[in-house]
Amino acid sequence: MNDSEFVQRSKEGDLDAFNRLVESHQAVAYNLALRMLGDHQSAEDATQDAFLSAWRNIGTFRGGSFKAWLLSITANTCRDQLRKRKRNPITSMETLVVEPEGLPSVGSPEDHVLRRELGRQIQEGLATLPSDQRLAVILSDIQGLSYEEIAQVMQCSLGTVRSRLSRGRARLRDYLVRRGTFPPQTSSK
Amino acid sequence: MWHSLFARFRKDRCSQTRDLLSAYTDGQLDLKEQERVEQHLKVCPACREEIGSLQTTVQLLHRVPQESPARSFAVAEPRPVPRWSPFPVLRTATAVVGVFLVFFFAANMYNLFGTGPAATGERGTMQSESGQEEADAGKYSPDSENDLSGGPESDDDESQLQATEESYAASGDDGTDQEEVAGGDEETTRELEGETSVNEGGDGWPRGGIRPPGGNGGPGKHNHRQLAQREESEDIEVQCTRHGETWIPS
Repeated sequence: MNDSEFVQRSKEGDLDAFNRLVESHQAVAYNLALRMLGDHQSAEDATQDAFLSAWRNIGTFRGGSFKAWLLSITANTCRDQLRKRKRNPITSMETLVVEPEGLPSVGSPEDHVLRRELGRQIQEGLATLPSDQRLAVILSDIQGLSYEEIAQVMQCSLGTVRSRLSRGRARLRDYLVRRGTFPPQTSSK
Repeated sequence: MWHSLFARFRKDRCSQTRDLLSAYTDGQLDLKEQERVEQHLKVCPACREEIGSLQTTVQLLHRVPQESPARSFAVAEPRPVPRWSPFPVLRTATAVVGVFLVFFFAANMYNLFGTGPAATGERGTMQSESGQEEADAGKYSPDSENDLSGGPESDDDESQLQATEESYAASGDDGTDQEEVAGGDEETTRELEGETSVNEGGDGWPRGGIRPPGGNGGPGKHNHRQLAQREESEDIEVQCTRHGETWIPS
């Protein structure tokens, strides 16, 4: 069965059908929340809230990509959490580090360390971006969504997606150059 | 001077191209933009470095590992109860009320509901003629030329009122109507001559204006209310025995 059939049954109140959708999409939603918020606990909370909200509002889903709809809810939940953090700052965003779990088994130990360090630097770099640019970069370059899908998730035009992605990538690149992740190139103004 | 101008032009061109490099990397430019970027990249080493660093950044992002969630996010909540929203009902109710109000005001404007209730004493007279009035109800149509609102501006005496009523009769559809109306008007005239009483007890003025159609002589036959309003300053009140309406002639 594909998503649309599970969605239809979910609208009729079939919780099991909805949980099949959860099973299919929870990894994507969780990773989005993780990269947006920077720590596992916050990401778990945001993801659970997002699925609860999706279940309660499944009747408002009017068709199209369920994944995009779900990620839109997840992104909004993350934004709410970020706003709360701004009001009640407990920890600086930049000190939150995602320690990779599920480490890859292939490659040498040096590769493993390098990759871990890289992941940490990228996460720190993402944390320096405005939330809209961060979301665009995560959806495009980490989650692999197309421009059209990103536009659906972010509920904006393709031109806006293009602009946010361009600025987000340039800003992240500048951060990585400053950190020495790769040789200094021409930085954006 | 030319050198600085050229440098400025080149800088603007680089700035414009750099805005497109990210989309160019993703193949999101149209053909024209793509050619422009490629032409510029051929001659600008700085922009070539820029696109190189962007592509490296994207490749690093591609290598960020996907984390597996430590737990399931399956929902355990029972089936959501569809929330009843009052808004659709309110919307419908508002629409119905709105249509009703439009109908009411339009009908009031065209005096479809007639004028006020008759006085208590004359109620019997009115009721005895109600059958004839209902038969006549459909035969009359609002005739703006004969509308009493545009009628005599000066103080009316009874003869002028009689003439006005006869003009209504003349606007009927066929001879039968005119005879009936004429007969009725003669009767009304006789009664008017004999009865000029002040409305002491009952209230002859129409209240609310909502009346069943055809209950008082048919739509548009008389506009007693308007006539009555014109004569409001006078003390003497006249009542139509046919229809029961009261008004004050001059």
